[in-house]
Amino acid sequence: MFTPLQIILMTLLVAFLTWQKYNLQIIAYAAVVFVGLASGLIMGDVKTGLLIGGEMCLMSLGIGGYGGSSVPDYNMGAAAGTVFAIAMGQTGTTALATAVAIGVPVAALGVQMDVIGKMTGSFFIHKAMACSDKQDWKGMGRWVWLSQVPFTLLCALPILLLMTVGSTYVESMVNNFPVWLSAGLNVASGMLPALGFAILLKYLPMKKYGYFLLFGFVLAAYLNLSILAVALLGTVFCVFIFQLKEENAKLALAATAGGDNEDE
Amino acid sequence: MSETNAVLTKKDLTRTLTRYVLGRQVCFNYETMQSGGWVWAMHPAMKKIYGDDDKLLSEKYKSYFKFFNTHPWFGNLIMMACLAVESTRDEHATETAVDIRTGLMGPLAGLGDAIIWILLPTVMGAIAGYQAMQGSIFGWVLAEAVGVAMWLVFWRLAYTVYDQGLSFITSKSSSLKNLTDVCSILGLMVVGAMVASTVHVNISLSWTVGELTQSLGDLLNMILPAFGNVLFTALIYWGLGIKKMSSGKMVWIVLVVSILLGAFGICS
Repeated sequence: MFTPLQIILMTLLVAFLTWQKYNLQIIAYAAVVFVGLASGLIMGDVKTGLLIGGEMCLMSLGIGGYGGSSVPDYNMGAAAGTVFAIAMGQTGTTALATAVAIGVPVAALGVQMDVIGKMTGSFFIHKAMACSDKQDWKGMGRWVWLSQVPFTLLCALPILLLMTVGSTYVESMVNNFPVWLSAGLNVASGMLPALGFAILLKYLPMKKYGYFLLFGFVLAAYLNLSILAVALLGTVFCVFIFQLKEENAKLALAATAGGDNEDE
Repeated sequence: MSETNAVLTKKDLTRTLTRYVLGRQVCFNYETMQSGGWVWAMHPAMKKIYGDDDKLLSEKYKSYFKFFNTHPWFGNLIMMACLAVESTRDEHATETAVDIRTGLMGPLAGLGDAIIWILLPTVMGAIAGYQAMQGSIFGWVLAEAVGVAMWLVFWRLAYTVYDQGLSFITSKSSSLKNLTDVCSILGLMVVGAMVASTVHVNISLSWTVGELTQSLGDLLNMILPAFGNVLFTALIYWGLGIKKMSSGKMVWIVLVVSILLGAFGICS
């Protein structure tokens, strides 16, 4: 089903992305689209890769590992979904259904991989600290970096296993999808973006400014404005609010300074 | 702190920054979080500041190996603020620097999450995702360009922070709070819009009375457009507040529930 070269390239891609997601972070925005694109390139169907990357990217909106927490990894999901959809010669909506069926569980599995990976870090940090105490700087660097071996391997493991020992099982599973499951997966692809937004709302100041949700909702639902249009319009409002806040702060500062003068 | 400029040259700073962006979260662990990559990144600069006094460095790193966690891009700036303090070679330099590091990591992580990890990726991701689904790569190119531009801003700012020391960050701190606030507002507006446009849940229950077939979904959408989207986003938001719930568990719940809803023809 997969050539050895494809398996090696995909495993390396996911391992690389695991490191770059946390460290270099130069592919930061819409990275899931990039993963679909790169996986599509490796598998020989860029168009389907782009399609699946786009779908998974919409599902991943709002999901981010704030403050060191572990969240579903849609990079892994998009990679797994894309390789199977393309290997089975699917395009369009069939490819999207396959991508959701395989990609979302893999993305959810990413949480466990991330947690275990971060747990292994404890071993390496203590080794590095011990080297630092002995003024062994080379050893310190070595242990700090060796931590990336289990971490990246753990995160690349699902794709490697799926493409090797798991491929025939996945193939027969996808080929035998009952109609009801396809209908359900279709609903899932429409509902999963809601999860990302719900997570996001937990991190935003809902109590203080929650009513601004309504504003954006009305612009999109009643006036049918695109996201970019809402964002641009929102920028106008927010720059204005920022200016007001800054001026108020200046006034408040001047008022207290004035008050001090009167006291003297 | 202008006298500190002489200690580390621009080349030294570039070397430190390069090491930092390559390894800022390697050796991440639940005890000290980002401290491992931090110490590795700062080592050549510290060696230049304190010469070859390995014993002294070893003592200082004990403090730097302690808990540290912030937004990685703002980490560039915190690193430079600490090196600016260390460059004074003051007796208490490390104590001060680590205090500054601990004091800044929380507020800057909040701001970084609001702008760099929430606002921009959500807007850019939506544009890139839609365009990709229509077969165009342009949206992703735009998102990547914005990301790289921001990344470079933080790289460039790091040099300024070293040159001007801490005053650069503290002078901006009142504006930073207002900036976080308005970015959160913009984020809320964008999320509100995306609940209407990016989420797709249609309620497809219907019933027939005589000749007339009435669709529940149409009825509800007449009351509030995108009713299904709003309902399920609200339900998931509420569900995330349940004790011991995590985003990892919630993915499975949403997946199973939506498959059931689709299988029974309640939603489409």
